[in-house]
Amino acid sequence: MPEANGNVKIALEVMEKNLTRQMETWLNVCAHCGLCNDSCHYFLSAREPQLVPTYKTDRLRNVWRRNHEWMGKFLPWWIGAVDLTEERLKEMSEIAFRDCTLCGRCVVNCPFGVDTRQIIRLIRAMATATGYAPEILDQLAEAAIQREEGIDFFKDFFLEQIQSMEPELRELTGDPQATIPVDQPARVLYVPLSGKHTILPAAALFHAAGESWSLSMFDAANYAVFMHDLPRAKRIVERVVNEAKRLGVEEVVITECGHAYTCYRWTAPNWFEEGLPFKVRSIVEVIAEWVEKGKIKVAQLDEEEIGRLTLHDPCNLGRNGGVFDESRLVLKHIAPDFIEMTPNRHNSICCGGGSGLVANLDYEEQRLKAGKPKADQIRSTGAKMVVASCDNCRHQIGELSEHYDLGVDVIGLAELTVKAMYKARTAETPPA
Amino acid sequence: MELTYYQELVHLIGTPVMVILYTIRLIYLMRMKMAKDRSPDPKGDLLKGIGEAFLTLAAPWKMDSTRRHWFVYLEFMVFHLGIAFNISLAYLITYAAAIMTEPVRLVFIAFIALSLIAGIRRFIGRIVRADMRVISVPDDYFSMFLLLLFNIGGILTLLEIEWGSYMYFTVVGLFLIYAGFSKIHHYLYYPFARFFYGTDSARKGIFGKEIRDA
Repeated sequence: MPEANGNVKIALEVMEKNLTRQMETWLNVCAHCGLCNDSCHYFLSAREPQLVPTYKTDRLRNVWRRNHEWMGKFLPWWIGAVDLTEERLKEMSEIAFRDCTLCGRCVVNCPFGVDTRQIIRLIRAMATATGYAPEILDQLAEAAIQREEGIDFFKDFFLEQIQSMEPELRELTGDPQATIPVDQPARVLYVPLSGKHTILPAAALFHAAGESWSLSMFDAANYAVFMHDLPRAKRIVERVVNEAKRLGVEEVVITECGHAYTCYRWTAPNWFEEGLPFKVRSIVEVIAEWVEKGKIKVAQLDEEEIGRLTLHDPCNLGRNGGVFDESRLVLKHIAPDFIEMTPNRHNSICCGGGSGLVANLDYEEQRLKAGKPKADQIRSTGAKMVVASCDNCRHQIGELSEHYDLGVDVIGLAELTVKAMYKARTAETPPA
Repeated sequence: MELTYYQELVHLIGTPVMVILYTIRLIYLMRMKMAKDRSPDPKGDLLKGIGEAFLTLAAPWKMDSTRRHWFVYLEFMVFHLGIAFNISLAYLITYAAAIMTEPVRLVFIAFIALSLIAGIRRFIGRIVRADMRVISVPDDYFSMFLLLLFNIGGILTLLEIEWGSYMYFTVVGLFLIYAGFSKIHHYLYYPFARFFYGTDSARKGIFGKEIRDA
């Protein structure tokens, strides 16, 4: 076996450091049965053999075999074991960032439960450590960290932007005193994404429910998570943890963002010695609770206005996060003609926009191609509107609608609920 | 060499080799650090989730892949069930031959023959399908070939054809020694994989939680 050096050595060190009992199991247990093949939206859309999940994970499995399997040491070609080279590292890095959205559909369709997401994440970690991760993700992760470091510089501008949304908030809620609290002690800290569409509807709902809340000055997105760059991912979460501690909140509510929810709800508690000092929920779960308990009044929307409506289960919120029933409960109250996609819930087909793909223009062509199964699924419902509680999904489905001529509008659950709330109050739909 | 002596010799050498290799594998696995999930408030019941993860294999309607490809699932079950019968045959015929009465033999022949047919289909599928070829290595083909010979040998042994029995026990010996080095050992990791999948899925409420009627 040749001696590893440079990037190869670094990548192998990352691999060794991440070999847990779980990873060892997933690398060993795959029998190459191929049952997961057409659970992958990449393979479904292009039918190229190199897009099946096992081929992608085998890029790492073959290197691991060379280093850890008996046969891999003495008769490597027999079991496909290979030495890691600079070229192989580059190739597997591209595959990990371009040909997989970490959606996990192959995981639930594997008779063994091989966690492809974790294997691909490990390849991404190796790529990040050796400079093969997409530059745009690196820049976005760095920008998130710099925002906290320069918060004094950003704060006034941010407050100005928020205040400019308040007249619209007053119109939506019918309360001339309605404001958007920022940096104030409260029970709940709401973490949005950048953009009015994740702030204004949530503000209207928090106001209507009479909740004690404050808007976070930070963005929920965490691009370091996509790179599996855990030190930086932790640093990005820490901004919100520090803010939450300072404001003494009991709960952090994450905006409609799949990866941010999974990060804060399921992953980040493992990065901090004592876990997170607050409860974490998605705004989707919170809206469902308010609707169910009658804390916000909603009316059924007009069928003529919104037409048939369907729901996309974002992978990170649903299959990887466990939020399924809540969106459906809200839609039952407000959607006049709701139709499920098939398959749905934890078998839902990925839209193709997740895990940093939407941010990366280099992979736009592959991303739109991989979205075809989702586009076909939407088309077959005959819906005119798609609800998607994830910003990446909304962006991707919007582009799929144009690319495949679906003619659908994409909307978040909070925005749709605000329409229903406005209608309940005024018997009219809110201004666009 | 007399057949009964050959059978015992195969088991005497092969079984300890397999047990030792599997034990080494398990010790190695258990010595590895476990990634602990400390996320609070699981959405589903962990024990129920683990149970569901194990039972999913017997509930093809629960996985989209097996729902859509029910024939592949059936083939998968028939193939593995026949292998299980054949493995027990290798020991029963050597150490408890009295159990192998005529009706029992017929049941074994039926299961192993079905497994053989399923195996041939799977072997051909691995060769002709591009998406299977791309994930296959020599070990995949050889392991499958070995299992086909194992099933043929099992049937010949049950039909009391002597040369078939010699062939069968030669394959059994090869199988026992080779399993620890090849992909055949995947079943050793199966309980671990389902356990990890079950706990993770239960935590997120995919398993171990009632679906609410929205």
